[in-house]
Amino acid sequence: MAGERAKSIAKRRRVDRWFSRGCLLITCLCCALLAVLIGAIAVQGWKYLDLGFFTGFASRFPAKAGLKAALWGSVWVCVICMAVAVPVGVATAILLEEYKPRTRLWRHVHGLFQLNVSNLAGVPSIVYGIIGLTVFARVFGLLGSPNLSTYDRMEVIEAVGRPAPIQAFLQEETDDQLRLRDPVAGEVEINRADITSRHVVFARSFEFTLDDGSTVTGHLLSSERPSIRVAADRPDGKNDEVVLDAARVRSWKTQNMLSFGDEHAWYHLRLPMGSTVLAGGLTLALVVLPIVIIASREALRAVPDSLRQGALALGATRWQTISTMVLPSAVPGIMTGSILALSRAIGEAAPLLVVSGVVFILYTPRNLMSDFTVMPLQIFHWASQPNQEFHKVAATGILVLLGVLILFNVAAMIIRQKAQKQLQ
Amino acid sequence: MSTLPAPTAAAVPAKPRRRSRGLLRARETGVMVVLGVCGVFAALITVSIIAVLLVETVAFFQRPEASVTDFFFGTKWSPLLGAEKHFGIWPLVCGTLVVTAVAAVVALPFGLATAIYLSEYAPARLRAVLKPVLELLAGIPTVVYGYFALIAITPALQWLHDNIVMRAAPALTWLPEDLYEWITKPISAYNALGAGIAVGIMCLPIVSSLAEDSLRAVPRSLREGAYAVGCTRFDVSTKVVVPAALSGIIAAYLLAIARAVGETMIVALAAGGLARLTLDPRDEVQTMTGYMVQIFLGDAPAHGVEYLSSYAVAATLFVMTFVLTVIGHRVMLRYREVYH
Amino acid sequence: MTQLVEEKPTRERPVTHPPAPPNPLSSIAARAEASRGEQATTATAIRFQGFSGWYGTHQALRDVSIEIATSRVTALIGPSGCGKTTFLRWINRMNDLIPSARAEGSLDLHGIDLMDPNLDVVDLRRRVGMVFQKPNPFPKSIYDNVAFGPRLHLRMTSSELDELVEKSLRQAALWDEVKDRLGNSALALSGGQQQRLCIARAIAVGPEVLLMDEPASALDPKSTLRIEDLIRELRERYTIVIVTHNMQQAARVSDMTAFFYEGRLIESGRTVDMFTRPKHKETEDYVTGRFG
Repeated sequence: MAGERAKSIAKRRRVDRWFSRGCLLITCLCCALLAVLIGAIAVQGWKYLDLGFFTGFASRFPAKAGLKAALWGSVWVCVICMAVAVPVGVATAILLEEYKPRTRLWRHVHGLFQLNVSNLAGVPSIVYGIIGLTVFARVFGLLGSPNLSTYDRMEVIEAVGRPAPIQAFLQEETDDQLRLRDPVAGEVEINRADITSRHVVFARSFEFTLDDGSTVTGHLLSSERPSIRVAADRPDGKNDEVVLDAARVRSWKTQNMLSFGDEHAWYHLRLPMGSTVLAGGLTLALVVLPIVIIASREALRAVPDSLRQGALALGATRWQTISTMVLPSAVPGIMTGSILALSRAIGEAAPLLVVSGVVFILYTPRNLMSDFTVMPLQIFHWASQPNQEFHKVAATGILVLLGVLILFNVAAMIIRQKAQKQLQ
Repeated sequence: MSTLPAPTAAAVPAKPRRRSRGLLRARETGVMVVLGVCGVFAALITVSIIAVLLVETVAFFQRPEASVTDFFFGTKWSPLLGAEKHFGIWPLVCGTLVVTAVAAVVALPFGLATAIYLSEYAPARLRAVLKPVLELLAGIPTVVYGYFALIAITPALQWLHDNIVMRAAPALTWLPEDLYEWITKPISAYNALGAGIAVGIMCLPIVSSLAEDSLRAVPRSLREGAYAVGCTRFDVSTKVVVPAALSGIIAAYLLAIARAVGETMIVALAAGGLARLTLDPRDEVQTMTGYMVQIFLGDAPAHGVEYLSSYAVAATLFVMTFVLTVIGHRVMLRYREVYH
Repeated sequence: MTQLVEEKPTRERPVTHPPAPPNPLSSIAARAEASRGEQATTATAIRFQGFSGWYGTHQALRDVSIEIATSRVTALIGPSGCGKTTFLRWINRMNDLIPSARAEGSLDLHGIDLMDPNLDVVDLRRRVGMVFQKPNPFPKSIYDNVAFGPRLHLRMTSSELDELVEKSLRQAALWDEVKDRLGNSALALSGGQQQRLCIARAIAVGPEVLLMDEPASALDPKSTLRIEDLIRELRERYTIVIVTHNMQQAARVSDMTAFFYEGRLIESGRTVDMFTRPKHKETEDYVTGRFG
């Protein structure tokens, strides 16, 4: 009897030992995986990692390909994303944590709202991309045709001796003269001295009325007199190429984008904004907003209630309590959460892929209305090339991306440690 | 509003210049309004997701090429090729499920084992090393995993196929011909297996950290009680702690699966782009997210029927992940209620 | 001389049990009162009438009526969960922070209705300071802790503020210990010092009433004695209401005592009377330590 029992205990010990070893093995395997992953990528990517990689733009040749446009695109997009997500996220977290409702109805709304935030965190990022494309880039298609990438920059000029304003493409601008091209009438020359007003519009589509009364609407492909080529809209969303005789066009007008601010200023805004830095940044803000909210809530929750009560008992108002007591204590937590959100934003590709597609860009963004690409998208593009050499370029891009991420993680860790020290 | 007389306090200087209460109250209201606007913005996101997907999906179903029954019961998805377009969601769902299943096979047991080790066995010092490594693994962008699947996992699988399956193949010729064919079927360059493994690696840290949280939330007294009746650590972890934390573990699983279902970049790079009804992970498949990438990358004209179909697919994906996350959070809240 | 008792007549009954041995606390209370000298009658500061309070469905206070005198220390005693702290937290409406808390009856401070839903609670809390059970200094410097309240409410020059901080710290008998390190973190102080800092912080706003919720329960005996000394000094200037579980403390520091049991106010009156000639059996049992 006793012998049997002793045996059973030994067996159980053995099971315990093997189970523990198994778990350790699996855990180490996970960590080894990280090493293999980074190792494999480093081996592949080492070749192209040099200064030229940071200063060069995309190229058809692997050796010349660089990351500059994507690097700056990432910077622009992430700055916009954080500028929106952090204030809105922290404010929402404060609303959820510090303004707990008292009445039953509002408590119900509050509960629903909490559920909403946790569900937002589970929405696949590509769905956010679709929302960003529909809401930000296209503005629900309310402001014109859905073709995003094409628009024409035209000058609208009023001048002495011209009864109607001229809308035309700018061909050449000299010190005393402007040479313009009207899509139908052809070239126009105007003396600078005669100009009374001048501004720029962005034409999204043209509507030509012909002499038989019919109209053709669509995007202008070219207008080499005497024929005008138009990609005419069809009801199913496709385009037919139509060639019009310029002589038969009775009148034409354009549908313009709304536009605010000087076109060269960083804050220049056009609506619908299309696949621009601003649309990308706002879309990413949607993706990381739940992360910021959840992290900020945790940080606020960690502030001991005794601090709030102490401040309130001294007659502080609710906002005074929050701004002087609660927020300063929660800042390290909020910062850590925001950095994690930022590292998510910088590695996120799917939503931006939907918003902007993979585009070949040879410049860095200049203002909010610039086209852009970001590092993960560029990496995706390189990785999906058939040419094996480009896979190595992709690996180089990944190395840079991982370097940036590790930098962020270290920053988050330092902040966390400093905050802990302060508390002690 | 009853107003209070001025303070008659001892410590306050004779003539304090009081701050205006009206101003304070106005600021309080202003802050409330600003916070409220931000809150409404967050709520509007959900509303706009549902509204956009609903409106565009309805627009899709109004097209002559599409029909509701075909979409939900059709087994053919060929929107871009061929004269006749078919919009039956099942091939895409199938692709998604195969990738998710492979990911689950990788992430769920390994994630739980890691969680048990970290919470029950690991010495503090080892834990201090392992935990950040797992966090780092969780922070790696998915496009990197996709690349890894493409250049490392799939070639490794192909090597295994060539060096193990094909070497063993001559010994298997006695098998029925179709079974032999099935076993020796090559692994294509784009396949659900490699992509699924990569998705599983991506989900592993999610499972392990959420499951570990729930394991650690099991009260000490429960463990001590079990040790007191002579349990080994193995007994304590598998018979006491894991059952007690079961709802938390299930929640972790559900949330990880939701992530796997919605994962985009890995499948776009490694799973391929061929929508077909298959459950064999060695095949090239197209997932729902993969299809969306194909549409938004390509030149499908805006408001064309293919373009609109991506909204219908997105709506399906949204509903799937939504159900998974709602159930996951419900389960998680329950375990929180038990131990907090 | 005593005007604060207003009990429900139905609860009053003669003490019929055999005479108990003299309560040792009664001599402490008598000595304490004697040391304070003759007391003049004072006005009522806080008046509860037919006051009941709930947390959700749990009734924490049942039909309490009491008047609390100005410039006196009133101790609230009774077993745990008897409603003392609830009672205290209604005086500065800290219960507003608990969504399920509600109350009925009337409660006023110097004639101002504290149950008025439109009452400016922020202004009320400036006039009614509170010291919590556990010292809760803010994670700021000692100086900033004391200056926190004045900065909220008053526009002062920095020299005025310095003066006020010093005055408050002196009143809280902490000045000599911290005057050289006002810029240091308040968290570095000992528990007793932290609690006196919290008292200084409460005083600095210039309250009329100080509520203390077991202010010494988290402290060691020596710090407790210092706090008690401080309370005795402060009673000249403030109306103090103190919740305590410590009978000796109640006997030592308070002029008046109110005994709560299961949400009811059983008895209240001069501390000396409460400890020497309690009118109710429950009171006697409690002050002599027969239950609790």
